[in-house]
Amino acid sequence: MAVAEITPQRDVSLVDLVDRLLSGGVVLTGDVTLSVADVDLVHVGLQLLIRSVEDDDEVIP
Amino acid sequence: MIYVYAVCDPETADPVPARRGLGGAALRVAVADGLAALYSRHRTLQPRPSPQAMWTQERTVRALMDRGAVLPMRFGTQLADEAALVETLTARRDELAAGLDRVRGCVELGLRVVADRLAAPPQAAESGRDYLLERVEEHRRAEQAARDVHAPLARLACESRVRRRTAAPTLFAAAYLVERDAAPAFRAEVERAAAGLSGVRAVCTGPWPPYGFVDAEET
Repeated sequence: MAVAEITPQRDVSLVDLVDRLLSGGVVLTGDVTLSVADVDLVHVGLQLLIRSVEDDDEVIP
Repeated sequence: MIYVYAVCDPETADPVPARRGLGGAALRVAVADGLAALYSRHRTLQPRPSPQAMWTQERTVRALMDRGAVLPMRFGTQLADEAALVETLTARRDELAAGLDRVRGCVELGLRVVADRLAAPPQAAESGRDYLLERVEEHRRAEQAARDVHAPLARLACESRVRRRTAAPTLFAAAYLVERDAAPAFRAEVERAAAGLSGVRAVCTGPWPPYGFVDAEET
């Protein structure tokens, strides 16, 4: 069981960043640029990223 | 058109942060009715959700976050001009001011419980039965993570929000609104709670601006 504290430079926090910017935050106007379909596509890509980051971790001592 | 990054108290936005917004545009501040908004002007702007654009927005918001309470906007928030921004701030003044009071003195911390690669099921299940068993096992581990990790963290937080939709390998994801001074204790609790779990890892991210605690909408 590992606990990783991650910094803004690390890829895993990119996943959390995208989660927050695309589905969180104040919706100030009716016309936010991205459609729900776009957001879902980004989320699918992100899950792949998490996996790839985990694979990379195996290389780092 | 203008691109909006955050809403805050007027004193939080003074002086205007010395950095550039999306596309290298200068940051500006509009003040209306006791509220300030940080924005930039653009001739044309079609922001795509690239990592660079999102980090630019995030760092712009973070420039205000250390000074005081801030309400981050969702990515892609654009308005026609300053007049429209002032009009929106005025029309939603009470709601936005209450939102600032809600997050004052707090930061958001993220928790993600991810299946360990070694313990994760194989990519392609051999049969429909194996597939179902794997899903049951994933569900069981997610519930265990929620019980063992989330509950003590939620007690340390002012508010918490569990993400309903997650996809493998993420088993559990949640956000916590935590008093700034309590963030180290929160991280220590993540380590303590996570040590009892097997087959998963817990990742704590942040501090973030309070993206998950700006309205009543479930995520």
